[in-house]
Amino acid sequence: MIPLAWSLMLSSALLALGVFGLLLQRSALRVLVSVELVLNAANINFVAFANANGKSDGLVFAFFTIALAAAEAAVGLAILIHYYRHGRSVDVNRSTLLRW
Amino acid sequence: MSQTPPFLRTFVSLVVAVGAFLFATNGLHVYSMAKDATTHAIDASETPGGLAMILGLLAGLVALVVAAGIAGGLYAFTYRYLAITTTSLLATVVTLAIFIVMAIGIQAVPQWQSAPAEAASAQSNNIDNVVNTLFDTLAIPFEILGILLTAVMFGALVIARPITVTGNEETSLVHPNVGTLSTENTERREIPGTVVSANSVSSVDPASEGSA
Repeated sequence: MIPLAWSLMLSSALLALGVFGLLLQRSALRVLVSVELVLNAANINFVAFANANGKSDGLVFAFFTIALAAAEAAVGLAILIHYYRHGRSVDVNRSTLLRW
Repeated sequence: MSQTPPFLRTFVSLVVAVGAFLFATNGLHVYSMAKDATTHAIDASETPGGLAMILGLLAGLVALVVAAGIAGGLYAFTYRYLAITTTSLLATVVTLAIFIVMAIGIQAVPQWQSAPAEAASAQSNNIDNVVNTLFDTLAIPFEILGILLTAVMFGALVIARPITVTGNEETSLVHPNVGTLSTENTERREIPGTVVSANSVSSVDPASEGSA
């Protein structure tokens, strides 16, 4: 069996990669992918602790998180499409005004 | 991004590549030591554990990527991904700080270093438990989540719908302000049989009105 620390280290690496992408990327699409990395890191933690403790609650919570991640991706892509139609760009550095 | 000399970028890229190679060599050596400790049951107290193995594998992965970029002669690739700016440096430092703090925290808990029991793992992986939890204990939250996801779908469709303005242009939408509203009040369409005066619009001819 895989020790719990290994799974936690993997999720930490994923979290770090997601934060790195959030800090460095300027394209809104890449920022969305980085957010997905962070959510998947949380999912790995849920599954790892559920596996270690012998309870299935963590698996169910991971299932919920996957559904919420899909909804977040849908809304994020919708905002991205709207933003591209408005400004012909997906550069997040250009979005400095909260008006239409 | 500031324009740095090409030789400086090349030098920095080579230094990073050599450092990654050295780090990977050390990491893989540590990885082999830890693997020998687990497979041959030598004294495990003097050898590093899972953290060193994962770090060694990550270092090897980084070294392979950097080596592929430099040994392949892809200068554009190397320049693009190894260009050092203030933002990239800050992001790297913050990312490494997060990872190191979490790794130290994980290593500080001794209970997490051992493998989970077979019985516990088998119990959590039982599909009956998952289904019972999902459709019995958490049935109502599951339904609420479904309703919220439906609302999210409609919201996403509303947000992503095309912006309809006059003509074929749908890329911009001008918010009305006082200037545009006053322009709309003064510019009136001419309708046959009407007389447009400076202040009012009348649909009755003044001549016929005077004769009546």
